[in-house]
Amino acid sequence: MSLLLVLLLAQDPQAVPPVRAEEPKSKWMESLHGTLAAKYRARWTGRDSDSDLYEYLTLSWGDPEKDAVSACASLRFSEDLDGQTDTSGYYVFGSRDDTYQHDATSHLYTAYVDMNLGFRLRGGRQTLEGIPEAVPMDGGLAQVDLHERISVAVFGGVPVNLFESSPANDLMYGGWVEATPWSRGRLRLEYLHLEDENVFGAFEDDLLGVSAEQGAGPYRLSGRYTWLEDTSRDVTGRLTAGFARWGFLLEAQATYLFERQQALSYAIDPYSLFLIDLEPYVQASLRASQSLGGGFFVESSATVRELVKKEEEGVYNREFVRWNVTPRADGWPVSGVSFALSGDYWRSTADDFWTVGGDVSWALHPAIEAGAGTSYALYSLDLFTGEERERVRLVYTSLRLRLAEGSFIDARFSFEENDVDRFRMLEVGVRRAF
Amino acid sequence: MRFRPALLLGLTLAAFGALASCAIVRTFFPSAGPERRPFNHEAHTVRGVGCADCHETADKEAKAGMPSKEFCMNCHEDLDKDPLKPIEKKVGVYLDAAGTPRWSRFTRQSEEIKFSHKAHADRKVACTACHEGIAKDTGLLPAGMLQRMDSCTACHEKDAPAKNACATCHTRLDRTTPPGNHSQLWTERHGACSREGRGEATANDCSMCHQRDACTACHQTRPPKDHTAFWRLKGHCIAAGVDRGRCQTCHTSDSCNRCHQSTSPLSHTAGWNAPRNSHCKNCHVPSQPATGCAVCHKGTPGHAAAPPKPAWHNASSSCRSCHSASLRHPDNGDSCNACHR
Repeated sequence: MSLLLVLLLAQDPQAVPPVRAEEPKSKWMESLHGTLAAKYRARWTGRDSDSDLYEYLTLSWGDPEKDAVSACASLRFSEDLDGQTDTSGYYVFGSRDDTYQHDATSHLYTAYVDMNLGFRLRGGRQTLEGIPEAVPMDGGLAQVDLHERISVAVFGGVPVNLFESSPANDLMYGGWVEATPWSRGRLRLEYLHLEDENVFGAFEDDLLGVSAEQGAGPYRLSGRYTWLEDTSRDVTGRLTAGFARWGFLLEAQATYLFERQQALSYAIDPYSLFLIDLEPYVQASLRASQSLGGGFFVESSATVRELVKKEEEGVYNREFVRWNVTPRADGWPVSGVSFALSGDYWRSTADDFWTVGGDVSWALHPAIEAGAGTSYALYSLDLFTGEERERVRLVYTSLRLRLAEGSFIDARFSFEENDVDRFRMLEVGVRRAF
Repeated sequence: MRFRPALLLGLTLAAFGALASCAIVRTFFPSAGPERRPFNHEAHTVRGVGCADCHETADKEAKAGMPSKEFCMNCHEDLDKDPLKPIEKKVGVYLDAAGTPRWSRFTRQSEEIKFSHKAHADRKVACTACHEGIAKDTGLLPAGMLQRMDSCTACHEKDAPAKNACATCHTRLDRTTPPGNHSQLWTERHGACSREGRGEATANDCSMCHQRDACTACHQTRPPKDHTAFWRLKGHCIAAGVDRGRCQTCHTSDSCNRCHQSTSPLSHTAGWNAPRNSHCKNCHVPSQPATGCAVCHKGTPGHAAAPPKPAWHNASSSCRSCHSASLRHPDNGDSCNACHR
């Protein structure tokens, strides 16, 4: 893989056809596009160290909107270079990749082929969205337009659990019906059946959802109602308002979880297997972003969650309030400089944590971009032993070099000091888009 | 002392105000970019000045053209002689030392964009169709001058769908060349851009260049900024306990199990087990789901269950109001409800 990357970087960048050509058929039938990246990461503290190599490949072939056949793939390779795999908890760099028997691991995120034959067929590893949950699947999807305003789809296969040892006895199937009866309106009925056998047992779940969406001018209103088995699961409503002329965007969302969510199939389990059951709650959030002109921009949000039954509040079922604000600026004080500040505050019963940080990026040269940033986080925990504070301070600096069109070298060094240890990390990577 | 939310709110508002005032500061310490000169279009349109009167080549050439000093002086030669006329309303304020007008560049597009005013004028497209509100613009806010791609594509989609392909306006389309707004800190900014709207126009529609899986491929391999070393060791437990829904954006339960099934927490150090049993200080209860132990230890037989609360106890009562610091528990009594139900 590394040799392939070197070969790709050594080539002169080739002109690629337009994203959307005016010809009836795109030239993507004859072109393969994607990105290839490799990253070396070294981490160390006063007593531990770790070295890993990562490689990422994304490929796309053809245009699914125009071409009869198109394909897409995305995968990751990783290798533990120093062979450190201590997962006993004493090694601060122990990770999920260390739980495998081999130093080299790989993950295939997507790999599918699309066929557009008047109706659409997609086969392979793909992520199905809005059914009503996004679930990755190894299988097939067939979608046909019954009418210019009505489409139907069915799918079937095996749910993809990337970190599960075996997909034995796993199954999923379902479908949806979607209608766009009037301008900017959409109605959709979705069904998902999941069967999952894992270390915690065998699960079989049926999820049904109905959603509606309507746009009017700068506004868009959407809602979704789901049932799990024959019981109402949740309802979500969302309103967005975008005023491009004034650079203002507003999003409001509310969710009501009706029933306690117990252990479910991996794909839709709300971590009940690890964080106990999820208790019913009501949650509302509001997000606003405003362009201030002159390259200045600010975004802020607030989220509130309250439990339906206050007495069920516990370690893993909390009421909370979250505030977030992110001001940004481009081209100030000098052209080529961008900076962003961020503040995030979570307040729940007993525990609070907040983070503030800032990032700056400076285009020193058309081929050179430098960056730096810092963040500070404070976790205030009210554990059984009393109040405890955990502090995390992080600073980093980065550099990006453009070798040619679509080719970059990125380097980043960070230093993190927390109540566990002092961590240093160096990442060096190359990336080529073709 | 706990951090006060009001203080955080005050700080963020102060940051907001500071950034907003930067726009004013820029007038005194301008960046290296084009200098803005607010122009009062309304003051001219109400006096019968038409678009083509100043922008003479709007219906003849690709560029609409900007008036020269001599052109402006045709009218302002006498108007500007008024000693009581404010200087900001005189032609001179728009001129540099050499007498050349310094017009704003709000409407200037990237050089790779090809646009012809004549082509639109030939099709009887009114100036205000694109420069909406320009007749009322007084220069304080460039309302009618800011050109957004979605206003172009919305009109093309309705009236000239054959001209709505990217190559109609963009001379340089290259999958290796990102749009101009994909500049620095795009990693931090793209979320807001993608949320800005994918209405009926195609602007800010990531799918124009990226397939849906591009989002997944990146978000599956690049963690959020707050996923620091501390996050991986301790922080994620705290965050997941508060809002597990945020984790579900990227992680499924098999991801948690892979790690927790094989990895011991950092707390399980010397003395955790017998004979010292330092784990008692963390829980001193059976391994019930109400404690962090249950993340890994499910249904482990433990100590005797705590006696239930008397029936007359109010569920919302403060345990400390009656059970003071003289508790014999190793904990401080804040989590009584975890066991005394």
